[in-house]
Amino acid sequence: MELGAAPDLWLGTVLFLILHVIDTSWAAFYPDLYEDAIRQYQSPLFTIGEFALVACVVYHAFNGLRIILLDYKPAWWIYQRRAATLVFVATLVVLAPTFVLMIGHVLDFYEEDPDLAGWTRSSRSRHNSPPGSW
Amino acid sequence: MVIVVAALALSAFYGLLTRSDRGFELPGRLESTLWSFMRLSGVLIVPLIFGHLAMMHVISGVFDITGGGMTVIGTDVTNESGKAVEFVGARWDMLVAGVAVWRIYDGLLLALVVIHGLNGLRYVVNDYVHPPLANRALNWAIVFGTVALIVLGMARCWPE
Repeated sequence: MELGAAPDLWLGTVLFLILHVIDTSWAAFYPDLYEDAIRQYQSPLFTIGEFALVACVVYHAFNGLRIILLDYKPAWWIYQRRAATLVFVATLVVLAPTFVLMIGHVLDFYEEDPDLAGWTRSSRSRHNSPPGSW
Repeated sequence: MVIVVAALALSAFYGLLTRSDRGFELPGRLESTLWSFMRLSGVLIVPLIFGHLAMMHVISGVFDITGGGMTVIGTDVTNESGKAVEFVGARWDMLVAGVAVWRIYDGLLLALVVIHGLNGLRYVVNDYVHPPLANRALNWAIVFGTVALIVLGMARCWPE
């Protein structure tokens, strides 16, 4: 298992994948439901989940490449400790600027509408649908 | 949900019918093909998923999906209504030399990731769930689920 000691994170990624295929199919079959789904994705709960998901995917990508490489070149197992560290470092290096940019989107969104408590939005907003009302 | 119940019923029926005390087994060749597929698809998925994350979460974010008046990422079209469906429609109708590039991109990513992800789930199930009835049921649920998700997700990837 690629996420090793944390199968719950791994499971979360697969569960989100299943959810995401289903909700995206609504764009074609149930347009109104799709608008609701995207509104949910813009809610604070899913924003936190979004950061966690991106972290899981990036880590899984580098760790998966490590596994592929070591399966292909078993002689390189002597470097496996260093490889695992490298995966961790590469994950952090990619995630740092990614999270900065993602936080930028979050701040942009909430700066446009400081009234977080009421979730009301001005009609001037470029985002014309409010986030989840929960 | 329906799939899980159906798979459990099917597994029980199969057990009664064959008196099988074994879990779910794929033919040996398919099992080793899937082993290779996990590596090959992994290499293909990495650039595809990084591109997907860059477009949907980094360059433009989840909040921009409903950004009225904003240019839809990967297209030269403006999302006039600020509706999420218009965002998806703009991407899927984007043609480069007559080719719906984002439909192909999304379709390829979908097929690879669903098989890769659910096959990985199958490995977890086989590592942890040993009782034959439950093992068969979960495996069948995963097989049905894989097919269902690909059909559902690809349904509108083809031009109408």
